[in-house]
Amino acid sequence: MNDDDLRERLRVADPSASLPRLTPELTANLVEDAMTTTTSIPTSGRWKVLLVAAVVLATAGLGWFFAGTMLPGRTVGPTASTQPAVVRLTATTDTAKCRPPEAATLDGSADFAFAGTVTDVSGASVTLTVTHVYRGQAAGQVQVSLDGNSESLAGGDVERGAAYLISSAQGSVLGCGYSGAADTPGLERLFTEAF
Amino acid sequence: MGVKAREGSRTYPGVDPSELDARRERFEALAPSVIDGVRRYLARRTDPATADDVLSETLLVCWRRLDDVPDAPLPWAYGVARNCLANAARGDRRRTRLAARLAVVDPPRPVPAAEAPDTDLTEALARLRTAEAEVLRLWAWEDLGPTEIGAVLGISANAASIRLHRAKGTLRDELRKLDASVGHEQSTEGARP
Repeated sequence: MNDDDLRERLRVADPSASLPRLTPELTANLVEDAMTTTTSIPTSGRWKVLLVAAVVLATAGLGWFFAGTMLPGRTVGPTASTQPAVVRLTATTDTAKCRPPEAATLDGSADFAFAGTVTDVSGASVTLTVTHVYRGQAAGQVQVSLDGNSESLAGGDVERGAAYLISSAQGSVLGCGYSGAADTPGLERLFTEAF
Repeated sequence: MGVKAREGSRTYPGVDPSELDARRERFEALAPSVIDGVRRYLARRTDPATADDVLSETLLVCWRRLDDVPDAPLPWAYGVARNCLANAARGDRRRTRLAARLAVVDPPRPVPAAEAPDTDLTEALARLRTAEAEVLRLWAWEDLGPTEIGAVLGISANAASIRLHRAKGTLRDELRKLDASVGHEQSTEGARP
């Protein structure tokens, strides 16, 4: 069986052969939907987000407590903590209906934003070393657990050493173009404009 | 809490309206060719409900990353669809079960090949490693060459070419084995009184 025969035999078994043709109306709807979109976090991930938010708040609270009691008069900031905090985030974007990202929206939504380099990828968890904090508490490392669909931090694509820009709200990574590889066109400018 | 965009609003702060119009025009020109290809790509690999979801998601990524879309958009879009599909597969089991139920409630349209399915081919493909079967599908169903296959899978054209060559060989071997076993069974049956 030569290549042509093999290819032909496979083609006959193509499961999409019976797929009806796309109507122009359906095509137009799909195109319009992609350009006019919203996003939301799925309900199934909310309890995890709350849990993670609680952990982050507890960590931050402890940090402030110690900073307040042991280092009186000093403000909590990137230079204030001798042991940078580890922040844990979840990345969930099951429902991905997004508009092009806007700096104003990012500014209004994100309570934590940073630039980081991936230092470890294990299973559904990615660890990044923070290189710059745009907003929020100082952190040395951030652990992002990839919960389900995360287009901005697709598990298979995250490589050690890769630089990322990540924003989050209440412990949940903001997807939809608000987080991603640092070389994503326009992302760095978006961060600079927003923060 | 997610990022809530204002529904119905067409203003984009910081974005020049004429630039946005140009962007929309580019996307509208690009999308139809991508839609049909990606739709088929997904129909070949998942159930109809998931295919619809992932098609929408793939188009969103294409819209958001319009500046990254190369001159040959389809292999790139297949790569995006592939990632989105892999993410969907990693989604929680509840969603998967729901998708499976939906697929049963709304069964796929009958496939002509189902009348005389090439069971040997299906079996032979199933015996291949996932990566090998996938290059064969990309080659035969998506009609891609090694360079384009490499673009979809994120590997070099050379690596794709080697993988494709090996996969063809493995598929031929598996088909031969299946032919031989069927032939053997038939001859045994024929010899019975």
